[in-house]
Amino acid sequence: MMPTVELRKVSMRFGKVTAAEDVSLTIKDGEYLAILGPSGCGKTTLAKMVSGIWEPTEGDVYIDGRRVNGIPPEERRVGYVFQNIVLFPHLTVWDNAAYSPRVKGLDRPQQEKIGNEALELVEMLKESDKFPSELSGGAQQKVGLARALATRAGLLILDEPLSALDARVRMELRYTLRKLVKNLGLTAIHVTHDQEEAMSVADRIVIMRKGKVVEDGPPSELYHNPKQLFTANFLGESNFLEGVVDRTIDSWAVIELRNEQFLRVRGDGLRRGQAVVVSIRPEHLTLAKVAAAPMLTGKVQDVHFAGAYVRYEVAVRTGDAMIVDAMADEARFNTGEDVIVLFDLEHVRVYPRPYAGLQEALKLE
Amino acid sequence: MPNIFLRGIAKRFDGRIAIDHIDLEVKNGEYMAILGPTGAGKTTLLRMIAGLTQPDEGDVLIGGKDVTKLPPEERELAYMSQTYSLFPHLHVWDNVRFSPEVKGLPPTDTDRLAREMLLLVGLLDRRDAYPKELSGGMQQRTALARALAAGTNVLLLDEPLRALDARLRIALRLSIRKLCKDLGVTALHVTHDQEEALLVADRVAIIRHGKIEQLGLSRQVYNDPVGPFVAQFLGEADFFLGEVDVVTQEKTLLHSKTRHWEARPSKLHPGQDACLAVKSENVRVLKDGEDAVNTFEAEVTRRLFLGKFIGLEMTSAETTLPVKVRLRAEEGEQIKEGSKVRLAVEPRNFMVFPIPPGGLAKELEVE
Repeated sequence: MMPTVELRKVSMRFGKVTAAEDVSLTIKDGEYLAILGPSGCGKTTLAKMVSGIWEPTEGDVYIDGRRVNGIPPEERRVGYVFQNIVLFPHLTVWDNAAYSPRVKGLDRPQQEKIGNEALELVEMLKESDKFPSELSGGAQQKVGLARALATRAGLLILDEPLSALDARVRMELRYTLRKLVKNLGLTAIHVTHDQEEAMSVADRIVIMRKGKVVEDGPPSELYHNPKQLFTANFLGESNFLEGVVDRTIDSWAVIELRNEQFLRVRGDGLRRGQAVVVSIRPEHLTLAKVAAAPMLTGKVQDVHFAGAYVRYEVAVRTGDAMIVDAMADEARFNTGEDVIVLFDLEHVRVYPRPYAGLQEALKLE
Repeated sequence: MPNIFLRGIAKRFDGRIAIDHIDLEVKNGEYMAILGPTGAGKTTLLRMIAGLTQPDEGDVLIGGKDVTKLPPEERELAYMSQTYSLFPHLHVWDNVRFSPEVKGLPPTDTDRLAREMLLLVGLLDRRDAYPKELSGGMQQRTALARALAAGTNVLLLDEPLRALDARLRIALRLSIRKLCKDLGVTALHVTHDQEEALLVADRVAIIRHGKIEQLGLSRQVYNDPVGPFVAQFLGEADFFLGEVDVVTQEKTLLHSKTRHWEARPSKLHPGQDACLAVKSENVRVLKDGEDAVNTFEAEVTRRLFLGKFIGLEMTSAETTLPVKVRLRAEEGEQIKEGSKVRLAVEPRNFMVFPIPPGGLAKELEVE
């Protein structure tokens, strides 16, 4: 059994600043949880309260059913991997990895067994005699991970573990992270600002903003059915069109967008006159020459090649600028061309217009 | 008249070659990305153009004028560093006015320039703030306004988005391009992020070990890479080994111990050992009973949800390397870890390269 973690109504205040506010969260045994949010949203604060680096101002932290408030980090059985790779520069790779068993006073054979095992897991055993400065950034972070694994803790906290690395190395290492955590059956809390990283490593994502949990769920559920506008914008990209419900027919609604443009969508629970925001992801739009509902007409403003896909910027008749992504081999429109933007009905989401305005609801920082 | 012209530029640090005799021409008004892994020499190259690092060999020309021996302040260009280097004790306004003021422009011109640039980046209303009172994205825009206020036609950007959150990076990357295009500025943008490079740039230069591996339009370097390294560094690619049987104008025919392959035409000759490469989004998962050329079987070992895409990693008897496949999210829904699938590659999507000296594995290393 690996540990479950529970936060109960936890808040953290630094003077007037509230870094986390009334957060309740349970992380299951063996779960890989990502905490995702923009800079300053409180995600690192949450991780530090679990590890014991910080004590919450209010609320309780439980690890495996035991309340750990007041218990110092070294007694919480938590492995911690930091964003800035903090290896001991004067120690070899092996001595870095075996640091925890050594300070615990385990005998030499034990130290060797644990150190070797940890390095083997991250495929760095053959680099044992090197010093950190002789390694690439990615290799250093693997040693950091080995050192955390050598604590033999069942709970691993990964605080932006890949942020200091190159994009390509980051992609390779996130495979490694998830594989290790799952193979060893660990519980992991992975803090990141990178939505693709969160989606690819985690069983569940918690989205945070301004010290609060916005929502949580499995990656594909959050991506395809975000309950909050902020999630729709932060986890992936989306187009947002403001409008008013013109009429409803059974489970359908006709939305009047700006400039007297109309869009028929599925809309259970919408009512006539309601101010709404229509959201649709760029890959759920298709450009065409032939009309088919639901659609808007527009003109291609710019075309950008992104590798696997091509991104179109389209000015539609509502006055909105939309982004449309097409697979590269299906992309055949040019700047200046008049086009029809087709909506994939399955993927249209309609939200009540937020009280504080759309801009505020979507803000990334 | 090229706006930036490098001729045989070379630089060594402690005897190690950092830039290995590079020739490069950035056209007037062009937006070029310099892409490569850490340590490839990207920043060194940029610093030599800016005059912050002196080349050991070669010349730097800006607007047709040899500036190799000139100090940074006498080169007609603006440089924006990764960390922005804003003056912490100065307001946004004075940060942006700094460069024109140092140049000795009259206060009315200095003020006009600062106002224009802050308007362009949408920060005129924050002109009285100190840098530390601004969010990361606003600091970045202030740095951009300051660089542009220098009034030069050449802008050097060293990882201009690196200090920002991933999502904000995505939101801002095209805005820098737009600004440069609107102002007619020639821009050189250094990045290690391949998607960023492809999206923002007219042309991309991929550099590695101090040399330019390939230079071309985004579409060209992605679809027609010069070798295995570029093929896998831009996007993702899968590799297979084979020996060439026949090369015609339409295709290259190859074989391995177990099978035959049909690929794009190439300059290889019969009997030559070759590696085949395909972008991971061009590997198709076949439906039951569907037939195609270049089919092979694989077993899914890993499935990653990436939002727009599903990333699959598989093992196959046809190659010792993992096979990566990128599908649209809705196509990948049914495929689970442990699934056995039949894959196919269209010959036009199969690239053929000679085996690199030192072997394929060495060629593909990114660090």
